[in-house]
Amino acid sequence: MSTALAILAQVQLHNRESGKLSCVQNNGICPDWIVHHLSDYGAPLWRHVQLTVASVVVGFAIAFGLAVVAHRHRWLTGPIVGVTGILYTIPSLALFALLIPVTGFGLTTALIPLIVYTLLILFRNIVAGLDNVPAEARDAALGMGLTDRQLFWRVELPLAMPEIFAGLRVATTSTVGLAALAFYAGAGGLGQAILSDIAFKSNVLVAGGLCILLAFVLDLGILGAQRALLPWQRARATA
Amino acid sequence: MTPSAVTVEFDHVSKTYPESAEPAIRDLSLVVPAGEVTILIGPSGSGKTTAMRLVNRMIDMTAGDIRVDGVSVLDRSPAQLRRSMGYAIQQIGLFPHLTVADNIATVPKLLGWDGARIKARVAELLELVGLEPPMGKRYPAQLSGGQRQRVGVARALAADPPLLLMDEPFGAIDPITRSRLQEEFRNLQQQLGKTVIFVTHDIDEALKLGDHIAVFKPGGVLAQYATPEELVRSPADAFVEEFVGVDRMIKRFEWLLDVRRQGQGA
Repeated sequence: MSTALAILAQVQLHNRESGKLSCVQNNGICPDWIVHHLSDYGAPLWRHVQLTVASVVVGFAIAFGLAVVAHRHRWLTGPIVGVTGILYTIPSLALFALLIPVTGFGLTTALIPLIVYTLLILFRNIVAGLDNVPAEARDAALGMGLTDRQLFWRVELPLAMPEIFAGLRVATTSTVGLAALAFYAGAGGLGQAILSDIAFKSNVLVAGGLCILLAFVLDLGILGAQRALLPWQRARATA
Repeated sequence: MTPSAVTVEFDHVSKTYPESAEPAIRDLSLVVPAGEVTILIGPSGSGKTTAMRLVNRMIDMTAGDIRVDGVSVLDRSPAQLRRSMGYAIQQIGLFPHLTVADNIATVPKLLGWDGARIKARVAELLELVGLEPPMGKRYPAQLSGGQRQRVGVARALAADPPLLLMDEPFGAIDPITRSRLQEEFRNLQQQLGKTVIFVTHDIDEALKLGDHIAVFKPGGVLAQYATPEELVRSPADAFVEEFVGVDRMIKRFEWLLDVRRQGQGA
């Protein structure tokens, strides 16, 4: 439908500027075409947002659980970093190909690798954050009668938040990039939009540009949340 | 109603760390009188900090018993026990993510005080340790070293505990501020009359602040437990004599050199 309209538009354009090839025929970067077709990118963009947010949220939940366990049983940190590190090195295309026979063509198959790839970054940052809690703050907390659970939730976790936020930012940005390959698993997203007319510059520019914009906006959002939630960090910076 | 001060009895207490063959504390018996400042002093490795940390069960003893107000510390859960005592350490350990007011409110919150009572108590404590009310809204990173020490003391006093455990609370600070904080602490203690167990390695601080001084030898042995006057006038053995004497001599000598240097500079 939209292709038909596009052709019609081209014909009209061509007719009006007789003698000259239209921008679209020239495979140029066409502001008019972009303005007219921007709404076509709404659905792929929304799917891209879903893929990214779902992956980071689920990945964070898993990484957080693993980090809590590793915080109690220190010897587990090495093995968990090892396993998540190996998972991180598996090429995404290979992982999609391996999963398609098991989980089928679609969202699940795309989400599993995307989640897996966030684990290394998120786990390492959460553990690093918890490890960097000053020993004297921990000693004072216990000495004043906080239980182990209160120590974790009221002192250790809040003090680990700067590193946790740093991990979330890296994981989110890299997931936006990786989600551009989710179409291989049949999950759509902006990668699908790029591929649908990969030879047409205007299309690649808009779809690719939206990817970058999305990464930027999400990053800014997390940074804003960090600023709002951790006022003490700025106090430290200005001290 | 909690008493304003309590007696602490060490009854044949020993502590041997699992990784060590030698005990850190060896058969320690002493009575810390209610309402007095008792200093635990000694060179490093003498067990003075260990002895203090046994009282709030940050470390558990291997043998013997410690009774606070007649009740064994082993009969209470560590968390409950610790909330009933003030705790201040050299590195202070203020929570960087909490404001000064929230830091001070730590134990009252654990004890479930209501908001209005906590607010009033925080204001009272800020005044007590000589900090302006707006300081309550600041974060620890925005304070000077001396201000942080005051907040540490205020936090230890927050729930008005009858017993304070202080591990070199004025240690990591410049000599002038330390001296001022010591003076303030003495005045404060005269008002409050708490039982204080105070660990230090500085004999001048011990003589200045202590009602009683327990001198520990390397290996966790109590060498002498006496008032400052007794300690200086009749040291129990050569170790105490040297510890009290040599340390003081070095301090005086350094002070003299400082004065001379300043004189030359002027």
